[in-house]
Amino acid sequence: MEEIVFEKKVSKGSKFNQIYIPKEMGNIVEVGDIVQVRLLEKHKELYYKNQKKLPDFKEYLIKKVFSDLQRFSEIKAIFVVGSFLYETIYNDIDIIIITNEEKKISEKNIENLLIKTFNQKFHVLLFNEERLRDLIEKDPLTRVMLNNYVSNKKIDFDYKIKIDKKHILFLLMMPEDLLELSMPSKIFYDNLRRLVAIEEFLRNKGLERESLLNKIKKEIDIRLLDKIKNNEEVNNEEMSILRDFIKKKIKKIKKIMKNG
Amino acid sequence: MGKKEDIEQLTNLMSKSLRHKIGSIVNENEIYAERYAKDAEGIMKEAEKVISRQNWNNYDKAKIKETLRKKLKKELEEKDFLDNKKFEIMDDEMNKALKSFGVE
Repeated sequence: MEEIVFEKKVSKGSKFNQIYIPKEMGNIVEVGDIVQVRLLEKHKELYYKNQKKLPDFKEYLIKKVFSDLQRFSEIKAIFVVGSFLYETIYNDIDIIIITNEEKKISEKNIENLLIKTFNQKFHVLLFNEERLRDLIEKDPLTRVMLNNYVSNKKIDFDYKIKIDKKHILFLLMMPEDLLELSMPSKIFYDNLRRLVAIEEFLRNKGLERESLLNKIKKEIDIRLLDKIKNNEEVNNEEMSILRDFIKKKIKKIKKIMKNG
Repeated sequence: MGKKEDIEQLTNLMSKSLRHKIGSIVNENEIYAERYAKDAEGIMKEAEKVISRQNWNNYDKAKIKETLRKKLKKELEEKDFLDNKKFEIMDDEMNKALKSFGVE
C-alpha cells in the first residue's frame, strides 16, 4: 500500500482530543481506515509573567532552549530573565533553572551545552525550590530579576518579603564604597538600580524594572543615566550628582531599617 | 602618579575588594555569594590597572602587604554584620590576591 504521510496538530475536543484529516485527502484516508499516530514534536507553551510578547525569533530561540534542556530529568522549571527580554542588543541570555534536590548537573555544564548549540552567550543559575524561595523572600535583586520572565511552566512566586538586615547591609557595601572609589560608570548605574530596588523592597512596593528606572529618572537626568548605562566617562559635576543620590538613598534605607 | 600614591590607591581598592569577597564567604546566610562576588571582582579589576603601572621591587611588595593588611583588618572590623570567621581567612585571602598580582 502506498505510504500516506501528513502532519497535523492535535486539537482539543469535548470528549476526545482529535486530529482532522484535510478535506482534500478525503478519498485517500477514508472513514473506517486504520491509521497510526506518531508523536513528532511536543507542543511547547511559553508562560509570560509581567512581560510583553516577545518577537517571533526570540520566542523561537526560547522554545528551542527549553526543548534542549528537557533531556535533563533533574530540571523542574526553566525561566528566561534579564536583558534578553527587553533589550534589542543583549550581552547574554540569563536563565534560572529550578532543579530537584539531587541535582547532578552543574551551571557550567548547561552553559557550555547551550553555548555550543546556539552559539550565543548564556548565564545559567541553578536552584532547588527551597533555596530559590529563600532568595525571593530575602534578596531584593532576585525579586527584581524574577518580577518578569518567560518560563516553560506556570509558576507564581507570591512569597512575602522577609527582611534580613545583615543581607541588606551586605548589599549596601558596594554603593557605600562608590562614595570613595573611582570605578567605571556602569558600576554606578547598576548600584543606583540596586539602591532603588532595596528601598522599594523594604517598603514592600512593586519592583517592576520600569518603575524602578522611573524613580531614578525623577532625580537624575536621562542623559546622565544613558551615559553611565553605556559606561561612558563622567565629569566631576556628574559624579557628585551620582554620589549625592547614592548618599541620600543609603541614608533613607538605613532609616527604614532602623524604624523597622 | 608616584609609587607612594599608587600603593595608597592599590591597597584601598584591594582592601575593599577583599572585604566583599571575605564577606560573601563567611556569612553562612549570605544567600547569593556568587552574584555578589562580582562586586569584589569589579573593584579588583581596578586594582589590577594600578598594579600594572609600576615595576615593584621587594621593598615595595613588603610595603604593599603591610599596608594592605592594616587596611583590610580595619575594613573587616568596621563591618560588624560580617561573621567573625572573617579574621580567620583574612590572611589566606590576602595572600591569594597578592600572589595573583605577582606581589608576594
